[in-house]
Amino acid sequence: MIEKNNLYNSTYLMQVKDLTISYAQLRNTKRAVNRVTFELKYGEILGIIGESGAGKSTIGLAILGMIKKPNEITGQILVEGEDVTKMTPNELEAYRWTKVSMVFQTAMNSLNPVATVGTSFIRLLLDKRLAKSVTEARQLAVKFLRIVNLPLPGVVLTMYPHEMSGGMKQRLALAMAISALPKILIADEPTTALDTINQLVILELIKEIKEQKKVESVILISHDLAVHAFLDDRVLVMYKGSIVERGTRKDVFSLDAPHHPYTSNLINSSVLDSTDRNVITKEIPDARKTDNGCPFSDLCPEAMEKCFTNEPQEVPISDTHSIKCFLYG
Amino acid sequence: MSESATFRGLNNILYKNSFLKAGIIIISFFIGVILVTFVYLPSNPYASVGPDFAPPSYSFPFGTTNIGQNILSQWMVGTGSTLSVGLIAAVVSMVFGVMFGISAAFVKHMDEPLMRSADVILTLPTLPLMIVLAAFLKPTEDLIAIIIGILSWPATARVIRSTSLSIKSQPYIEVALMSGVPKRAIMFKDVFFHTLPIALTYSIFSIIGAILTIASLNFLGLGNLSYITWGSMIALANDSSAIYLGAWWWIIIPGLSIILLSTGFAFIAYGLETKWRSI
Amino acid sequence: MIKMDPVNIVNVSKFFRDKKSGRIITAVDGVTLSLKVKTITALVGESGSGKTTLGRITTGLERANKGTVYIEGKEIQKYKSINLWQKVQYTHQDPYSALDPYLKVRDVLERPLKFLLGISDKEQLTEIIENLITKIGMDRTYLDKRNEELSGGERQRILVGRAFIVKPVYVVADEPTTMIDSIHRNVILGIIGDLVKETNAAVMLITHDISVALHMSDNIAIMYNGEIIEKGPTKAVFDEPLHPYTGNLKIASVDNLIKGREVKVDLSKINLFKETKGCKFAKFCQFSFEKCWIEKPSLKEIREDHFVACFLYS
Repeated sequence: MIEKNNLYNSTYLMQVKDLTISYAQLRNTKRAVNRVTFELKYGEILGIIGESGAGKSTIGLAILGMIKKPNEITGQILVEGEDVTKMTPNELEAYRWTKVSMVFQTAMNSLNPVATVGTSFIRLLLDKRLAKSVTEARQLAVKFLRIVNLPLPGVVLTMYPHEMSGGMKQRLALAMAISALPKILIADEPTTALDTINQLVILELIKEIKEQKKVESVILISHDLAVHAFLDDRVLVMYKGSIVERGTRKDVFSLDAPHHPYTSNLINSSVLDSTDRNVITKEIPDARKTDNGCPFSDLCPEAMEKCFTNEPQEVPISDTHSIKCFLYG
Repeated sequence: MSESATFRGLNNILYKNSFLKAGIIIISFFIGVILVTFVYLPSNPYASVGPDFAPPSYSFPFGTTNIGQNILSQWMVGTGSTLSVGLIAAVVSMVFGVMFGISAAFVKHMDEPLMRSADVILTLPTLPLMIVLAAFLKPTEDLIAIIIGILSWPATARVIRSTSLSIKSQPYIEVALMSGVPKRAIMFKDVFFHTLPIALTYSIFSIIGAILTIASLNFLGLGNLSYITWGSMIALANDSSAIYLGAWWWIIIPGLSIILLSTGFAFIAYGLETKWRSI
Repeated sequence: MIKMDPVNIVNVSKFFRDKKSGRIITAVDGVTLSLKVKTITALVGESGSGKTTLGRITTGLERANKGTVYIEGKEIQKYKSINLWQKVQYTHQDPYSALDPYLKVRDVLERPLKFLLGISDKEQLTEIIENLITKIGMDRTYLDKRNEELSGGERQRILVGRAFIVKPVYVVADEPTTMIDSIHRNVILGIIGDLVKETNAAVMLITHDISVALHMSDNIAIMYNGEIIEKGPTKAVFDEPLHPYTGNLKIASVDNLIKGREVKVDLSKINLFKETKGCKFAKFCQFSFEKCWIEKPSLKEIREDHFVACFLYS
């Protein structure tokens, strides 16, 4: 039974509330996502910045309903009122690809190597009942290949994955992901392993796809700041499972605005003529950090006594910008 | 290895590995028996201390032989001799296996000769060969064990060779080279440590082979029969027509022990192997 | 005494034969580059551009099919291994597979001193090692730790330290920050800078991230598909990128985006299916014309010390 949540706020396409995800490992459990709350508006591109271990990919998987036992998930993920965490396998089957779909970093490599690209795409369309016959599926496939600007779509359909370049494969993966015109497109590291030109191509494509309403909103997950600085409307900065800063693209990437020390470090590492170019964080982790304190406290150059023992709350800096740090409140 | 690493390593290996745990329990039991023999034996295993062909009872838990010897005492002594034979064979097999395996991987001109010899030895039928050797050379039990070890190095060597080849391509070996470490030192210190876990695992397989081979040889009447092993017990039992006379205990007990000991080692080896595979 | 460059790379090429298709893949295509004493030259390129292969060829870890590498004026093949490693060192990209987990930090640092410099006196060894470990921002207690206990950032520091400990004339740092999280990135780069100042070594800093190059290097060489398409002093090249590819790298860099400049790349001219016999970048170039597809441009000095291989300028 799909539970329609009474607390659902219909101005948002998706609401994530108090999401906590733990991975079961050999001897203990690792908390990958820690009480994360955020919303996705209609028609926006939301970026999640984080490095490995931040939890961003896990959130992507959770939105697709792919967190299974023995991994634990608590909290809510409401997509147009339906809680993904409570869906049955059948409901998930119907939900995936049609409501929410994903383009992975390794999408290029997950195509069947012994089938032509056309076969894989047509099979997908038939499976998801987006077309009723092979001819119809083929026409639909060609249409989506055109949308992602792949030239000579008829020819492309006859190619095998190894005959295509990385950039082409990624575009194909994008075409397949939007073929059901999902409400939400999640792109997880869509540009890693691509060269600069192809990166720009893919990002431009994602922008176009959203503007042409082929998808409603986009969640962009990546560690690459350039990707976010180019595309996002709003940004979430994640560190070790928590959102440490959130705001519009301007808020987060502005050199003059206040930032979480982690964000400052991220930005300053990439900018020329930065006055803070020298060592920004502690070289040896501070042993005073406890599990109840701020996750960044052991490396933060501004850490105060209370940072080690208490977790900071998110402090609003402006209407759109908030930072989770004791420096600001 | 540092203490923290081995401890964590052991914990990781034992966790959820019931085969390994079962194997360790079995082997520990037998080792316990051996330790007990150092301080206590129910009676002299060679001496006639009871009635002939007595079935298991309170005073003779494992019964007696055709001349009244306490089978329990014999069995306890046999545990030690069987295990020691297995260990000698395993050590010999491991030493040669590792040496040849690493050399084959790192020294180009030794690869072919070593691997071809390994192939040849692998095709030799161990038991018939041992029978011939034992019959003509009349070696001691220990020498038999060494020969079995020498015949079983190929299996270990092959695995060590492939492990070494994959280690060879690791950047840290390149770093050792760039630091000027001489090739021999890299082979027999750095690489050796990394092959140790797998070498041990495969040596355990050869323990099993050795135990079974020696038991078979003893059973066939070869080897030193006055030296008590489980195999020799079965041989003597058979000679005395124990089965016809209903003295099942004289054959079943050493026979089951051989199976149990082998199984214990097999569990350990299997448990370790699955662990290395997953790593 | 003629002062020679520590490293001269002359027309180096390297080919591979792809096992599956039998095609010949050119990883490095006619590269000529010199590195000067006490400078950091960034070799910037994307994955597959051949930068790692080139770096490894210049340290003797791989052999070129064509061309020569000269270390202090002498051909690299003519060096005996021990002598080569005294002068040339290399740090790997992945700090996890480049350190033997069972070894202690002390061993890693002692080995080059013992085997390359022949130092056996315990006191001398300890002095040099303790000196170095402080320079890489770690304290003496790390010396007795096993490699497996170290984090990624710490490992990379040990790798860098190990490379410089014999005071070589040339070090290749292969993507030293790629597998380190952003927090430790600046630390590593700072350490490399310090060690260069101390040893006067020439460093080739291989990276795909242009901001690393901007942060750290004196000179920059841009590599595309096995060739160097632009080289010169870093500031000059970045202020005025001549080659269209360099221009794209600059436009797409975080620096550019954060400073609010518009990104407008004309993607309409990109022709994926046309084969080029000339410039390898023609397919993706928004400025390409007839000649680019037929003839291969070579590196020419267009501004002072600033070379570019592009028909827009010649």
